[in-house]
Amino acid sequence: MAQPLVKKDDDRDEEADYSPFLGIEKGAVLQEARVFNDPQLDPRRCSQVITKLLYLLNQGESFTKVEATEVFFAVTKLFQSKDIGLRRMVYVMIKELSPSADEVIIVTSSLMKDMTSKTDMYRANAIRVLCRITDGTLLTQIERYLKQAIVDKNPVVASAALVSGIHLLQTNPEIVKRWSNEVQEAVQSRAALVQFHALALLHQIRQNDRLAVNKLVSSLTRGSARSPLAQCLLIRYTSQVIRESANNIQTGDRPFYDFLEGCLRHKAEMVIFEAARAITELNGVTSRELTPAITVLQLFLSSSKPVLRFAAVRTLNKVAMTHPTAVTNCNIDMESLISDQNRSIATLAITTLLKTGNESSVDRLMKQITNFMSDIADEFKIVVVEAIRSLCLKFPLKHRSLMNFLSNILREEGGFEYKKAIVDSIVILIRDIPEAKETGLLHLCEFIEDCEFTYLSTQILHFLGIEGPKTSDPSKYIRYIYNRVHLENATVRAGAVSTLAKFGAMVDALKPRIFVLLRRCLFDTDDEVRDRATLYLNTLGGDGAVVETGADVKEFLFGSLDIPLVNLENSLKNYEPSEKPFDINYVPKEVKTQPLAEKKAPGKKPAGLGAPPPGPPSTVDAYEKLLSSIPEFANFGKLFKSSAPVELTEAETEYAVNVVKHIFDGHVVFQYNCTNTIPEQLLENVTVIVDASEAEEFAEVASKPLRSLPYDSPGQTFVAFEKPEGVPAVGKFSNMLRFIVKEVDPSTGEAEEDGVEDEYQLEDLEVITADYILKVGVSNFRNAWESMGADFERVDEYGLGPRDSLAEAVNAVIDLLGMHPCEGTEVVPPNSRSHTCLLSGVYIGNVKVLVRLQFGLDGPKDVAMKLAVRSEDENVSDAIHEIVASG
Amino acid sequence: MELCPSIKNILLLDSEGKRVAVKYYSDDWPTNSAKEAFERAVFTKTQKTNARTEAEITMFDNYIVVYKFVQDLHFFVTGGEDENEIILSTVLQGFFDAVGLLLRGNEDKNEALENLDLILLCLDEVVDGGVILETDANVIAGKVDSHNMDAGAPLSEQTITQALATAREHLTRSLLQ
Repeated sequence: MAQPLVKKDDDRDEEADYSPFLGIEKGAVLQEARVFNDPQLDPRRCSQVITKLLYLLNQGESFTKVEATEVFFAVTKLFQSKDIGLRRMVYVMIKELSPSADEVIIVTSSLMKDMTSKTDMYRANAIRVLCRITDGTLLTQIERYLKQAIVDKNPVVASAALVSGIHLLQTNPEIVKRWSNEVQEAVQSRAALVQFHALALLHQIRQNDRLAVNKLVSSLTRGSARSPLAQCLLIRYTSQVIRESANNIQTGDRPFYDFLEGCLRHKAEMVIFEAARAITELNGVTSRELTPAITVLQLFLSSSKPVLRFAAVRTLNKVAMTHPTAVTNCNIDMESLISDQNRSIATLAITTLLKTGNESSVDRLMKQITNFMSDIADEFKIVVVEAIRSLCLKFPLKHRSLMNFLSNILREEGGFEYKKAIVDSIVILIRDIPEAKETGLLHLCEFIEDCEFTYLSTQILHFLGIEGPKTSDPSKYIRYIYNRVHLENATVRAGAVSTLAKFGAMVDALKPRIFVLLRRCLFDTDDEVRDRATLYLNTLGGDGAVVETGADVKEFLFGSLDIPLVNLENSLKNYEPSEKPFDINYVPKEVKTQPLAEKKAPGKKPAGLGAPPPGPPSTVDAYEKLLSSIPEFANFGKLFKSSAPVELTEAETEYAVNVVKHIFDGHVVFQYNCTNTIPEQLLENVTVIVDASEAEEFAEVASKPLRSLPYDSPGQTFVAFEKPEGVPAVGKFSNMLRFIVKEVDPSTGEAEEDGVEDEYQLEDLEVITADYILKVGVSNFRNAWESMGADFERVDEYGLGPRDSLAEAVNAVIDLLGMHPCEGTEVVPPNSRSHTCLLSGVYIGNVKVLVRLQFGLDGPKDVAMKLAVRSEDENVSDAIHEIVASG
Repeated sequence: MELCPSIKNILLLDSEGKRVAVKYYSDDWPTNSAKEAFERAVFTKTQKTNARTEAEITMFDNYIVVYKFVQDLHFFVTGGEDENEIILSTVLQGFFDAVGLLLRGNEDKNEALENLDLILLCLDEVVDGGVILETDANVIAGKVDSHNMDAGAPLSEQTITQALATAREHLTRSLLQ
């Protein structure tokens, strides 16, 4: 496999390190470049110097501006030589130097001469160089020659012009677009590559004209005998046309499918593969359409060429995600790939098999994988572990062998990421498959006996503390946990102490033994460990008496912190030491939605042990501070939620106003953020007159005008309403901005004494039920759902009517409810016919609400939805249904 | 969406992962150190594989890399993760075979460095700014070598000055060693 290492060592002394560029040095080569200026040019020597210069550039050396300019000017002298070889090197050198605009002028005439030369090689290369370094103005001068070159009978010249056209289209589209007649002619060329380049350019010229692309594709798909590369292009253009005309595919055959299928019988492998891949990627592909593509890919699987095997197995792997049954025919070929020399191919084969395998084949598959795992890299192993986890969730009955497999590989060598992936998988299996719990926990216990990663040890200890006491025999875990107190670093010891305390709190029978162990921890060398032991001994009543653990103690030990850590951190930072103790209840609970880009980050795995990702700092604190500083609103209590700003004016109007709705238990405050965009005006005494006639339950109680609003410095005015306590009152408000306007002298900036009262109509504002729901996530929806119980469950079905897509319907409902999507369920996989979305939130009055939405496509476009709500209050469950019914 | 097949880079490294000649066509690696890091990663990932009879392939960091080795020369062609693997390997094969033709079957690092001008011209003829120019090895080598016949001509046909220059060069080279 690897080349003989011994031989290399032998050679080393004599010649292995010999290189014509040995000891090369930039300064010396730049000196050498002076030969370019010799009146009697020596082409051979000049070529060598250029090669050396190019070698330096290629090795990552860079020339200063001055050096580059000098070399460039010297090189331009070489156009005097008639030597063809030297001229080629000059072309390459000029491209590498990428001269500036004023330098380009020096070579333009030489290159233009070459462009009209009789020598094909000169023409082709001069075109490529000139187009690379030129700018728009020069381009118009040479346009005529370029158009000629496109239809030149020499294919190299034509290709050079066409490829240059492809590059120039990015910078000078209006010029290149004028060449379409010539390009069109070149598409008919007999030369394979010319055809390819012409097709690529023609499509790029027309890409924004859907009709023209359609015409291009339909005329070309009828022809034949094209170069393989051009044929690949055509396949790509065809699938694009198919995608864009996706609206009318419900009836019968897909347009152009026959063309794609025909390409599967092409003689070039790259075309066959391109067509097969295009078919598998068709939107809503049927199994009848898939079959011929799968068949050719299956043939590739047993090819002698690794590239073909890789391409086929990678495509089949993707197909297996959406159409596992279509791929099962390839399973036998796939299994033989597990032993493929190329580990990328082997890994792809394994993960495909894990996706397509049925329950009966699991055991055999696991045996094969075990042999395979030892000789692949960690990154591949992680892929396999993840595939096994999803397989186990699919076939819970097989948990025994799959769990065994995971625990075996957990014991083997591996890096942190790999170990974490395994532990995460085991944790998820324990959570979701009750029968797997006890064995899984024991595997984890054995793992922490010899675990080098503090993070994993503490995470597992925490998990043990929650799950361990609920098992049939909690006592058997104590030994593993207490061993940690002896053998580990302080962080793990502290974690072990907390876990012991949890066992003590939950299992009365174990209490005396736990107390003994905790008391021993009082002599630990680490402060934190001692503090924790002392704290737990006191809370659990460690004076020896075995008493029932109180509910608040349990809450203290097990209750989850239902506050985002970022918010807590911010509040603690803002807290100023005073008589008033810090109150955790005043920490905002709202989770700020993260930007979409972040959510789409590659690691979109179900959350295992890891903590939820930290959100960006919230603006809730800022609002809360602002509002509590206004005496009129100080007695409204705790701020429940602040909405995102809603614009009340069009963009670019005289006055820009948006509003933020602040919801309190018995009040609503509208914060109008106003900006004056007229430099010649100063606004004073700015208020918003709110007409609440369409919001019956609201009564205005206070308003705070804005004293002065100068040009371009935003200010706020507030209006407060009273509403029935704890009731999600809704209504519509019309707004009028009222102010005194004073003229400002733009030269001095002084405002006139007298002002005129004026009004400005704003758009209406609505308070909706979603304003009363906080986006609060839960870490494990399934657990939360079950522990909430079905007491106040309300289920109903709704028809959402025709929608553009399932994803659009899902997003609409999420927006309507204003709740937090859990476990990444807001993302709808393409082509799916149904989808389940999980939401969580807190309703006003601090009532937790969980929602399970099941969407299905009913007919071609109609979306039907089943809505199940669980909450701590039946009125709230009903209210959620009401939102959906009226939305 | 990028519809035209595109090449991100072509690398020719030696058996220790050092550059013989490389050409980047994409801005994915803006600095020389980014390029070197990529080359190191590619080299370590592939060095233990046997890519001597058939081109091999791997995927990492969302790139597809096809590669083939001969003697102490390692050839690589990189494309985006959605690229047709077989197109990439056609480009690799074209470049690989063209270099073989140009070095007249003596494909090793020394020969490649001795004829670096041919290798650089060869790179220039395979891909232009990421767009595939030519994949047929005979055509590529033909384009590079068409003018170069006199370079391989016997010494007797060189002019006296050229012969002297050559001799001087050989002398300096042996002195430098």
